[in-house]
Amino acid sequence: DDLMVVETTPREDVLQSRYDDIFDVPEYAADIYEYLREAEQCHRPRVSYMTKQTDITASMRWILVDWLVEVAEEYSLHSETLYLAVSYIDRFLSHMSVKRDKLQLVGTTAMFIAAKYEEIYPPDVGQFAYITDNTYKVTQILRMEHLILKVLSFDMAVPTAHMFCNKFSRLCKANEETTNLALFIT
Amino acid sequence: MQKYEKLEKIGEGTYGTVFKAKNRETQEIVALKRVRLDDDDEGVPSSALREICLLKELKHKNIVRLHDVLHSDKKLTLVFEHCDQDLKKYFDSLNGEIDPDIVKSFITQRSNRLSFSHCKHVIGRQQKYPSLALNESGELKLADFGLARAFGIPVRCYSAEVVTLWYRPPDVLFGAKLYNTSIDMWSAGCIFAVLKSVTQILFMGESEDEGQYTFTVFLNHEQSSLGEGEGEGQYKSTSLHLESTVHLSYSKYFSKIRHRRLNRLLICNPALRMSAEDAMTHSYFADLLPSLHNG
Repeated sequence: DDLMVVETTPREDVLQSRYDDIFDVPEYAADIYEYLREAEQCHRPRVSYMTKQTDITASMRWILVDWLVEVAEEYSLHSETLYLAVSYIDRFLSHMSVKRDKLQLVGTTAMFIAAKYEEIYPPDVGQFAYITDNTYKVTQILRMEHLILKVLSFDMAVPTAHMFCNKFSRLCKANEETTNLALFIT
Repeated sequence: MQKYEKLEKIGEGTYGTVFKAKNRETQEIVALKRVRLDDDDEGVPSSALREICLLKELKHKNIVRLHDVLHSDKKLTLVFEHCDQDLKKYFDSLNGEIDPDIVKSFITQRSNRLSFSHCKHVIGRQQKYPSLALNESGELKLADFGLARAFGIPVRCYSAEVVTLWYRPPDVLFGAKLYNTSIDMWSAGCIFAVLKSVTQILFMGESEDEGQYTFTVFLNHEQSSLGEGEGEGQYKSTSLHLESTVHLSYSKYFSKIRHRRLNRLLICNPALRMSAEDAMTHSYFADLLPSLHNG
């Protein structure tokens, strides 16, 4: 009766290496990578969107991203959340012209959406209003959420530079320092 | 909601109410899932957010199709293709008689869509048979993505409080927060067992403790039924470590389920658990129409 056969247990070392890499999801890694590259093509910000903006500049975006890094640290958010938020901002700004006094609102809300998508326990909307020193009210954030979701047509499950950068640095077995430098540049 | 005419209430999802409705223009029958948004709330709930954006990426004949999203200040409505019944209702209507070929067809379809979504870095975390929907032509569709999430590589820790208790794999049941696609495969094994035995749910428990207890009792039972030496060292203590390999022989426990495939899905160590892709190429499906394999 072949149904009674108990499969042989693999050797300890084989088992250990399999255990080590199941979190790399080896059976799907190639397919997932291919899919992510495809998805990346579909959800790109416009290369020179900043030239179309009348009230904001690249250095303002730069200051905003810097501030979001601090927000992510303050609320212990994952780096993936931060990269998602930045990608939402760039895609949103590719479609919408934004006044400088609303740029931080766009950034905060992008972070709020990214946290809900990515984190297990995202900070609540009140905490996001608080971190802007109450420059914006909760209702403004919720209204902006509505707008961002509409403009990006709910395509929030997008690949980020963070995913690719991590993958590449694992492939070439880069050390932590190199990886972090690469992540910083991206 | 002028575009759709509500016909009847179907039920409650992970969040919000589900209605059967008709598109006034095309006369198409759809399912509407409505989420209320209150002013003092957190905006779009993260479960709805994930369900929408993941379903937009997952277009597959064994996954319920999301046609449209209507977003207003007060509510968020998801427009889905309509399915007549879920798997649970279907079984209840059969009174315990089920054609093995139908079981096989269902299992293939389910494995098919699991391997598809795993390829797109999505884990379902909500495999249970009431959330598998059926349409008239016997197409099985996964309907509830309220707990699904995308994973990165390598996977990070996610919440351990996922998957309906009866379908939760032992590693997660005992608190593992680091899991991957194998979480869906355990549940798949449980559903398979239900399909084969029709009524029996494998690991019933009302609470996490009870679930852990049932599972432990089950293991002990298996342990004592294994021959001398066979089980030695394979099962160590009641607190399961990820490292422990527990191979179960189910043949004594469920006399009707005599298939090795089940053994390979219900392996405690997630590293050894069969993947959806492997499941698709298993000899169990060899005689099935190739058309089911494709697409």
